[in-house]
Amino acid sequence: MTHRVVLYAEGAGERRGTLSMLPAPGEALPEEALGAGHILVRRALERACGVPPAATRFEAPLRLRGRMASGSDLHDGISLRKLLTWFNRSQQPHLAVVLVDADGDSQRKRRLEAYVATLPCAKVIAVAVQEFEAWLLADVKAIQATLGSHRPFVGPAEKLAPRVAKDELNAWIAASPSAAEQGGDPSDLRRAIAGRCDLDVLTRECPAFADFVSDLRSC
Amino acid sequence: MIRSAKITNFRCLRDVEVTFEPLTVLVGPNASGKTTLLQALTPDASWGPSETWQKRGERPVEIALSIDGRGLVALPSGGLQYRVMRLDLEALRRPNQVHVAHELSADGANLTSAFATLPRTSQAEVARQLCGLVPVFSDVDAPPFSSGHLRLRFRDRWAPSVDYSPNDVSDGTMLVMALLVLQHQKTPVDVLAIEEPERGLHPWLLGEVIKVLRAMTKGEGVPRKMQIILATHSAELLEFVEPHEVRFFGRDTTDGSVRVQEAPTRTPEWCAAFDEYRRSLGEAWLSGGLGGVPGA
Repeated sequence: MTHRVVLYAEGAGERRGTLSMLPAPGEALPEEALGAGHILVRRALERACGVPPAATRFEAPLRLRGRMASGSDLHDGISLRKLLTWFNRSQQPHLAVVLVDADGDSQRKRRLEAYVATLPCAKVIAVAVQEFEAWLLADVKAIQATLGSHRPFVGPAEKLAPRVAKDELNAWIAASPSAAEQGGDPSDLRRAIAGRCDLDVLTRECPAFADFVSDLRSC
Repeated sequence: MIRSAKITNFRCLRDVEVTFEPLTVLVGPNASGKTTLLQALTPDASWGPSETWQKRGERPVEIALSIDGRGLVALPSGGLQYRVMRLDLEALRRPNQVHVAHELSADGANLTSAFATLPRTSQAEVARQLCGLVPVFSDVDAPPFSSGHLRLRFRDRWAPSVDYSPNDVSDGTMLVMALLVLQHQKTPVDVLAIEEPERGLHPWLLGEVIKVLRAMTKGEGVPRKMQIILATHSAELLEFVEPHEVRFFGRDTTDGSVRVQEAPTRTPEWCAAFDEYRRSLGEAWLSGGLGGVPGA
């Protein structure tokens, strides 16, 4: 059975693949349109719920006045409720995932969950601490294998201050010979890291990711 | 009134059924089939093989309308007065040779003549309405401009000695002028289709224009009721119509044929979902959840 999933994420780094014009909401996203966030969500779904990766169909998300929702849109209760409201039950996905950064706000997850609690769709609010890049940084071996470069260990991924994980991943990618080979577009490298990282390591290093997997299981 | 149209094998309209209201609004991205639908409704047109689905010519074009009082009517057929207006902003501004024009032409090029041909009371009514909608003017008329020609003249509200030619006024003013003149056609049509009526109009003015058009559908201010179909890209325009009046056009991603959707207003979840959007139809449309957006 196909598992229809919509992912809302804060930035292009999580949600954007190499396709410039996305399909309309409700249409399937082709593989090349998937970002690192999609790849991790798909793997987490397999781990938590046993959904085979091939059965996960990511669909284009709803928009806000024609533009892709990002950043502060996902922190705003009114906007978030719109994004999780489908006019037609047949169009409603099996699961909507909202992936945001904590950015030092320890109450963010609780608050966002409260905003959308009464909506009928199945949804999971995932809050990366402090940002999504921490999840990509968690498995150093996977990064080294993907990027072909080494950098000094900066500390446990979720213990890093806001923006440090983002900057560190960017620096790592910039120093990678693979980045130059792929025309400098980091999307593919981020996707590759998301596809290669060891989920056991990620779960151990990032309690927020472990929470996300747990939420998927109970959703 | 056309209740519905079933169109088969006509250009991108491979197999489409559309229902209509007294006022119907077609929305969708560029090249989503809105104009093609308006052409398909032309009652007396016949279409050859080059107008068939993907120009295959394998099956003929079939267009059937369900019309009040006439039942199911296969086109081409006479008897239905139908007109598509594609008002051309340049053409609307042209001076016209003096001649009687009881109908505004499809591109509006004879606007000056059509206005000048109206009875004085109708001219006064158009001027009153225009000055209400575009309150920088206090009057409009169509005096002789050069030998044998007339040109519209707009009077400044605050400086009665100052007049403006059509080239001096905004696109929106010219468009509103044309839409107002349409109310006074000597031979009103049964169905009037207007493409992109929102061009150049301030969003506040859109609501007033929709009021005028809606009144025409009720027979108010016109000799008889007129069905109106609008084709638009304007989310603002949607704020002034009802969800059940809108048809959302898009393309099927598998073969490129046109799909027409209606807002699911009869479903149990509609009201709650629409409330989330603060009952803003324009915003609901731009979410992509109703269809009628690029990539559909």
